[in-house]
Amino acid sequence: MTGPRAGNPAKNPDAAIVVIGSGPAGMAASHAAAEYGVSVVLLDEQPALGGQIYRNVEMTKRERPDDYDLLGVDYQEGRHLADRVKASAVRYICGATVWNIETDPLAVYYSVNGQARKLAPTAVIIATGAMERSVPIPGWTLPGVMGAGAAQVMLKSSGMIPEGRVAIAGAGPLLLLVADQLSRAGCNLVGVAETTSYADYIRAAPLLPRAMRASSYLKKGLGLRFSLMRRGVRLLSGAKNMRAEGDRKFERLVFNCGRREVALDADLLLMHEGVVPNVQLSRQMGLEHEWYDRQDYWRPVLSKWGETSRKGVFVAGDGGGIDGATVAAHNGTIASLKIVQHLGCISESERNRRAEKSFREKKKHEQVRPMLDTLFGPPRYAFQSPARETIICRCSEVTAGEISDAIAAGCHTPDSLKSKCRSGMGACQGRMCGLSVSTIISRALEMPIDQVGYYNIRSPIIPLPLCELAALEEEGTPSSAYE
Amino acid sequence: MFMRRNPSTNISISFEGRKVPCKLGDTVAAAILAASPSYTRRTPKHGEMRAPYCMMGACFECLMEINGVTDQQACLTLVEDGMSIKRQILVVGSDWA
Repeated sequence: MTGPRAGNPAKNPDAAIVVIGSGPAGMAASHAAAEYGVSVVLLDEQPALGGQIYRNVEMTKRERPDDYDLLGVDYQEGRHLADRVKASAVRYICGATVWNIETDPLAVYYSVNGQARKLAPTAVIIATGAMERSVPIPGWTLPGVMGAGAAQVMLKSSGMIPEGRVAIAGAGPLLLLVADQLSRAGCNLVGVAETTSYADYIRAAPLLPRAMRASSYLKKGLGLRFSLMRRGVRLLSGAKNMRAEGDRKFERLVFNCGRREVALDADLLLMHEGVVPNVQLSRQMGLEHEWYDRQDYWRPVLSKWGETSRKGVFVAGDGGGIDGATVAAHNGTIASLKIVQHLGCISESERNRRAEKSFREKKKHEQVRPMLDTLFGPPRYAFQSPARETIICRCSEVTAGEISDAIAAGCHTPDSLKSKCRSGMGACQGRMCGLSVSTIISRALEMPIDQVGYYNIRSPIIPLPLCELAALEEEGTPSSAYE
Repeated sequence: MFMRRNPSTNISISFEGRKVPCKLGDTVAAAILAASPSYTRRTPKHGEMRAPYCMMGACFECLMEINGVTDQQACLTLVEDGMSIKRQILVVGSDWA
């Protein structure tokens, strides 16, 4: 143990472990560490525990039983984890947005209610989960076009459903789930345009036997499809060349289905093409990342315990690769056990014994991924050759055409494009366009994407007023390094 | 764009001077979306109309002026009785900051 102030790192008065994100991974990780008397601070930018998957689960159960029923068992599951965190010694701080993590020494900077603060933990678990993949199509910036996940958030956090006619487009397990939930809530669904085609089903079929080892996912998927069909919702598969049209607001979704062109008139378009790890923090820290080509996303390079290229910094949950809520919770437990052992609170053999069940369960659930990855492969057409007028960077309003021209003029890296066109320089700091920009460069130059790389993400990772930085409150001093 | 499954509300905020009934626990973005806002900000470069997109703090499309402070992520802010919300319309040509 080294550091300016030796002492028991597990009792670090700041926090031995700072966990960022209170979804399944963050809740499981916090709770597991607190069980061994390790001091844990759990930071989350939302107003309540749960992350996106279990968003607002406690209040929904208490105040909106109808919504709680509608959202189903996979949502209700989150309540147990939330209860356990609440009953533990975990210091949970809601409304806390982390905007910088320094690695040497480890320091976590965050803001609550416009006040910046700092923590100096011994270890960090990043459990910031996933975000919906951006689907740049012409017209996707019109008011009235939203992520399908956003509609689910509206239901979970406020008991609201879309008013008027709703069109849903894209692919992935969440797409059908949202369609089914909205349809059962009485929404007027004019159609679900699936970018998944019959060919995808045929390609995925050989992976079915392996996926049967986690058959609950398959049953759920089929159940949703039948439920929608029974309710008469129009399902159109193999949708291509989608565009959202409208004057000042979304009015219709137009796409090709085989040889015909289909137009769905609606008031709201919900789009979804799966989720990708939210790598903003892990990128800002300069951790090593790798390209996962089955799903076309970046993920941090992790050990089997979830440790990143920086010792003492872990990533758990979908932020390390998309495996869903159940696996995320197991990963949270696994990362915590490793840290707890490292801090000297348990022996290696005790750690291994405790982690065994999580590793086993995780492995079982992962069996379905190869099939899902193949069936719901990323929509390559939309990313690799977006129409010139398509806005790629929503914040700075940079189109695919402007990006292509800049590449032709010699901008061969995401950062040089940023300087030239200002893509990735707006408020979201590349969260929405980062993947698309790397992909467009890779495609244009015929260069592997891992050579193209990603935007250099700098802190603060949210727009932060200077006065907030100036008034930074420190909650203590570094107590011990993770050595 | 959105409606409440249970129409009961208990507080109110204002959006562009118009009274918007809402419920404690709503985020500002959700409360405004339930009031059919048509749009909630204009982009700095072309003045395009935008409205909240992701509702989970990633896209920053929900930036609004809340109680006089610009650049607030409305999807991460809870409503408080009497809050004043305005569309964020920054000078064309300026950056977000």
